[in-house]
Amino acid sequence: MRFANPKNWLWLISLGGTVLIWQLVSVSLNDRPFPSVSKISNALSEMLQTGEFWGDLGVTFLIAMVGLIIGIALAVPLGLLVGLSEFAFRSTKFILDFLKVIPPIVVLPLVLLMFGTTIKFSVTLVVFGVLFSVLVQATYGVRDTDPVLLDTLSAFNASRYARLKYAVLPSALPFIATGTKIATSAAVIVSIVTGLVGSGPGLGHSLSVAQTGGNSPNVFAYVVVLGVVGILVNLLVSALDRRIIFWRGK
Amino acid sequence: MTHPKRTGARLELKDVTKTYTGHGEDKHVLDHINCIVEPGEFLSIVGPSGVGKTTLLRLLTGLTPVTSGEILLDGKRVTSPPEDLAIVLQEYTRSLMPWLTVEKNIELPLKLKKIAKEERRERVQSAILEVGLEGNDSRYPWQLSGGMQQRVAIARALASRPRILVMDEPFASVDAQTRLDLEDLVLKVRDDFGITTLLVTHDMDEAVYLADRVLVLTGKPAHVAAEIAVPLGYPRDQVDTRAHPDFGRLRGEIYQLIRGKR
Repeated sequence: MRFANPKNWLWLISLGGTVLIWQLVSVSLNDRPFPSVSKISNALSEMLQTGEFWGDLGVTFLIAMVGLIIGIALAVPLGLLVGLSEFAFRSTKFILDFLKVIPPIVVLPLVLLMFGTTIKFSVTLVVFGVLFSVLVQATYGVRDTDPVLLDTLSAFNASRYARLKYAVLPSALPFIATGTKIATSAAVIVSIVTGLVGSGPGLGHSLSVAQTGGNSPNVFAYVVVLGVVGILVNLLVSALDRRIIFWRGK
Repeated sequence: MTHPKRTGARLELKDVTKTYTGHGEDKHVLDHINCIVEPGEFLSIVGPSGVGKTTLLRLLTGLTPVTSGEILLDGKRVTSPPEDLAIVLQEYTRSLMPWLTVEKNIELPLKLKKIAKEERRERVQSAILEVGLEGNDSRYPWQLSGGMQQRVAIARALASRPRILVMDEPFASVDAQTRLDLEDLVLKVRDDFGITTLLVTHDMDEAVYLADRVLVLTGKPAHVAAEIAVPLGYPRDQVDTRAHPDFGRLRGEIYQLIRGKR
């Protein structure tokens, strides 16, 4: 049924069209400035058969996930605490907003100096990229708790802890999930950037090696892989969000 | 279904005065409100919008402290939400939890009171039956119509077996037909359990239709303009009661009071 509606497969046509135009332009210009689709796909299929590639992919993914988990584990309790106190919220608002907009790449040299090109360096940078967006979202989530809900619970003699458990936490959850969605994309990007710019382990580093060696089909093959990884991670996070926050928008 | 008949609580307001301070100049909302509600009585509180009805309700439920005077429930001074009191608010969409099923929403206050699981289940089921929500246990509030959501809120209030039920404009956000059904449901509940019932409303018809007595608040700060007994008897009927000459007369009297002193 879904395929009966042209709206559902239009993306496939536009993708096919783009690939076709790419191929035609590239061939007519003798692979300059970009290699043809066939060369890229050859490079890609060769790459997919090497253990090195899968190792790199695994490392990149691991860095992103570990950083994400550490970042969320730090951000959620901190965000809840800050959100619960008017004093803490007001006094940290400026600092948090300031830190939130600093791109992780700006602090990359500093972290690199601290840890060298190790996994520790990459993970730390991912944590930095994740922490503040989730933290700020958690504080807003707490503050968005409906006062009517809190009054209702108070009228039922709910303790402060019970109000936190039954009203504040569930109210903050959709915000935390939104922060996590943003943070997950950021985690994957930062994980790649640490390899690309900071020579940390993973796919970013392989991409930078291919670029230095002038192997442009490989460079594009990596770009394709990274794009696919990004889309898959986003789909996964969105699906989780819909399952966990099933009442969103209700 | 048999209902254990309970006795309602006696509520007494003695010179209740409320002034909000802070935020610029002081706001004197309620001025020396006196009133006694006998056990099992149904009292409607009406007044023009903004008169302070909701403030009065917050004082009754112990959510906000009185400035002076006192509120006594069975002779005990109300300083925090009393055990025997349950509330139903206008905004059912905001007072029910969208992440909990109907059953869990009704069960929550019982959980807070640390009532054993077996008894919780039993009470939730009988409350669901009482308000006519059978078969909706495991649905979420947002899957129900407005009227049904308000039934959930009423069931939640009943499950904690209150001796006094306080409702703030409970039918203001539902359609006309549903409203009549819910009014009759509330009368049935009062009848089944003998609980003291307080209804805050701006709807004069509703106030008269439901109550034994109507308390009219007017003025700024609000004071009691009149306490009007409703000699219509029970059971009431949406057609006959509203067609009764006394109904029209009382309604007119209240209208005069509210209009005259605005």
